Amino acid sequence: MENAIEVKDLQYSYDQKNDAVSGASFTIAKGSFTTIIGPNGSGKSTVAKLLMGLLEKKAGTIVVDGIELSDTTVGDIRQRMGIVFQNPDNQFIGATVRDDIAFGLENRCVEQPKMDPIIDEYAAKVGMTPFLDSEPTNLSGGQKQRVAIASVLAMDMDILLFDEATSMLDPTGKRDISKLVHDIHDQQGLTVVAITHNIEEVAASDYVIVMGAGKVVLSGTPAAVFKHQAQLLKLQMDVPFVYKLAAALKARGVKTAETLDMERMASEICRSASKK
Amino acid sequence: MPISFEKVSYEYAPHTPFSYQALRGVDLQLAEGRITAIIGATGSGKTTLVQHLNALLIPSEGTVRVMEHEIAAGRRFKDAKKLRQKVGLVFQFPEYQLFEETLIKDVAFGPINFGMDADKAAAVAAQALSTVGIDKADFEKSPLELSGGQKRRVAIAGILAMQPKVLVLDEPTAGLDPQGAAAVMELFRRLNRSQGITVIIVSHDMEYVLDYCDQVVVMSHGQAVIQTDVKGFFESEQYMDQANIDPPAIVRFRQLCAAKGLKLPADALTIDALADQIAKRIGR
Amino acid sequence: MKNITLGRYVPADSFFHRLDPRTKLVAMIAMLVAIFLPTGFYGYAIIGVVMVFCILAAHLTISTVVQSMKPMLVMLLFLLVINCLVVKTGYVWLNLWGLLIYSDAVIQTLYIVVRLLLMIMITTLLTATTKPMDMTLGLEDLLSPMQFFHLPTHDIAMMIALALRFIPTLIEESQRILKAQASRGVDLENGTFREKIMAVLSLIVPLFVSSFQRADDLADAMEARGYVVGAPRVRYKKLRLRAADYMTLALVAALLGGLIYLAVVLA
Repeated sequence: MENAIEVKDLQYSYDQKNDAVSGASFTIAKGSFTTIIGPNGSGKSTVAKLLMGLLEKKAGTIVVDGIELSDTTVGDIRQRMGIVFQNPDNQFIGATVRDDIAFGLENRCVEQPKMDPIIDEYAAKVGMTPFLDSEPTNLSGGQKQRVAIASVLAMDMDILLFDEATSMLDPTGKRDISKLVHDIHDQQGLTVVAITHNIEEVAASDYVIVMGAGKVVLSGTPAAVFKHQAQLLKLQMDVPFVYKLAAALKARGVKTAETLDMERMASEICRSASKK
Repeated sequence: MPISFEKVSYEYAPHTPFSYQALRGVDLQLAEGRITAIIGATGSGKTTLVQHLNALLIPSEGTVRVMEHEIAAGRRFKDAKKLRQKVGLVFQFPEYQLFEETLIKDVAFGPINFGMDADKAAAVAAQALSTVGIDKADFEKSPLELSGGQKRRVAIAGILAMQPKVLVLDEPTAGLDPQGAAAVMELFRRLNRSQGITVIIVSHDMEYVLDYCDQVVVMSHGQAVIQTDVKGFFESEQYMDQANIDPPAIVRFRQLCAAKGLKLPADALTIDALADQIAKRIGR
Repeated sequence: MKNITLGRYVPADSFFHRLDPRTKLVAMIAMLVAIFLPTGFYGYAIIGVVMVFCILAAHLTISTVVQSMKPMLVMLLFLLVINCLVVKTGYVWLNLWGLLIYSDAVIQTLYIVVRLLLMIMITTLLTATTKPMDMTLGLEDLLSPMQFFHLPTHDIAMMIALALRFIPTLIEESQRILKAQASRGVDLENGTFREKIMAVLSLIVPLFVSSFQRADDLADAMEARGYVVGAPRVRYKKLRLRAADYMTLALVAALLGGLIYLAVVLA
């Protein structure tokens, strides 16, 4: 199975002095749900922009869907891969929801009569049908992000990048968007790469890439990555609640099975307590 | 003196087709010298409420009392500037308010507006910047050179430099990464414990409310429906249901165990306390 | 706070609201030309009656139009005074404590006042019945032949559309900044000159800085969604002329033709 994204020795510098990205390498499998985490300044957003060709890399190779990223192939890659940014307002281009979803279709020169059905379909997929003619000032952050997702989906992308898409939202918005992204991933088999700070989201993903100081420091399944507690702490990264509880219990002589699932841990503890 | 709201109502854009009743008869007392969290769903009136604390908004009905000031509906409030030096309000995403050429000038802007002379203001600004963890070597940098998290800390320093007695913060951790957020909450706790500054925080993040705050006020549909101490709040299923919030992980875990037949005490609100309780129940 | 009616658009459902923006733009230009034809007061009377009828048909009130004249009242009075002092042709109409006011002075001023009133009626009819976004679309279509003269009409239209989209957002942001700076002691009313300058800077600089950031983010979002400056695009919103549009254009053409005839006859 071909990889969705392959990155080798990626380098980028904003100011010719320090490298924001200094030799990052990773692969993203097709159809997987990958999260990228790391302290602010570790280069995560820079990598996302480099993948989309919005920044020109200093060195290294980026291959998306088998196509190597270059000046001539940028357009092709943007046909296969889309991105949802962090700020809901600064990526809402159209005057209304309808116009915003149409924007990508307009750029793709989709035939005008075909646009309305596509817009209706994807607005429904993200639950924004009642708001098709609403203006962005009348929408919440979560609603605007749903529109951003719809406009990227409407362009029929295989790979979706999310650059901290929920960090500016309130808890309801965060929950709705996380669920929406997971549903899309499960139902449509798209490849999803989410840059996030939310440790629970990381625990729910297939694969985790941990970045630090412009490099990939750790990568693997969430369980494998969270084993490296000392290293994560050194990077000042947060650790899921269940891991913290497991560590505290271990210190008190209670061994628990390794899990990232709060429910599973609760079940195990309840069983142990009732056995007594 | 506690801060109090007496039957305070506020209506945006009255007498127009766009009028909106944000606060409906709020009765509230905010304890002096404590850290109080104001929580509630988006649109419940939290931001409107706190903007009354420094007279950015004047009530449509009722009276707000802050220290020796009385802000009453229907009357012009003449001491707004005096009040704003004593009640420092930090907005959500305060990074955007930085505008001066250097960090130190920006942080000194507030104190200078309130009448401090330039030299004293610079000294106070330097102190405030150090308090928020900005290195002395960076004082002459332009705000544009900083990262988002650093800019936020400078914005907070800008309010701290005013030496307020009450610090009000609207979602201070929004958009920050976990370590940035923890650092900022630690700062408020430090200021409260060491200088007795009353801290009022509007927040959505229940983890931080549990870990850092003493009191909690729940806003719903423009009214203050619950006012209690943080421990009491998170120990009560009824309160948490009424407030309709996402409980912190530790509470969720306790709820999961309860659902599976293991009742753990509600007052075990730290990981160590919970681990102790679990160990006891398992027989260690 | 969020529902600010942009420009002078008045939401309603009238014949004029439903017309294609291009029709209204062309009609407006034709009527503006008509006003400057030498048809004398007969012509103005005809246009005036037509405009009053149109304004009422668009569910607008005459008083809204008259209100728009208010800012110009002072200037018009000034003009009247100047004309009375300067123009000494025609017959003497009034003797005001030794100052002779000639008929031509009054008539010329009246011409200007009436023309101004008619222009305001016409432009108000356009802006009150056409959403700014629709006007942009109409302009984009009408100006697209200018592409042959290397005028980037589509890019200009995109810029205008983006500006329109962000005006309410920027207004909200400036209100937030105002409040944030007020919390730091900024007082726009009192204070020394220097303090007032700093106060204004504390509002403008953050707005500019955030606008540049916004522009950067927007550019990234637009490029990521396949926008390439100058590349061919298909526009989602298609404007379609209907029977009502053809009828309106025909009537306007007839009116213009009639007035030209009138001007010729009177000459």
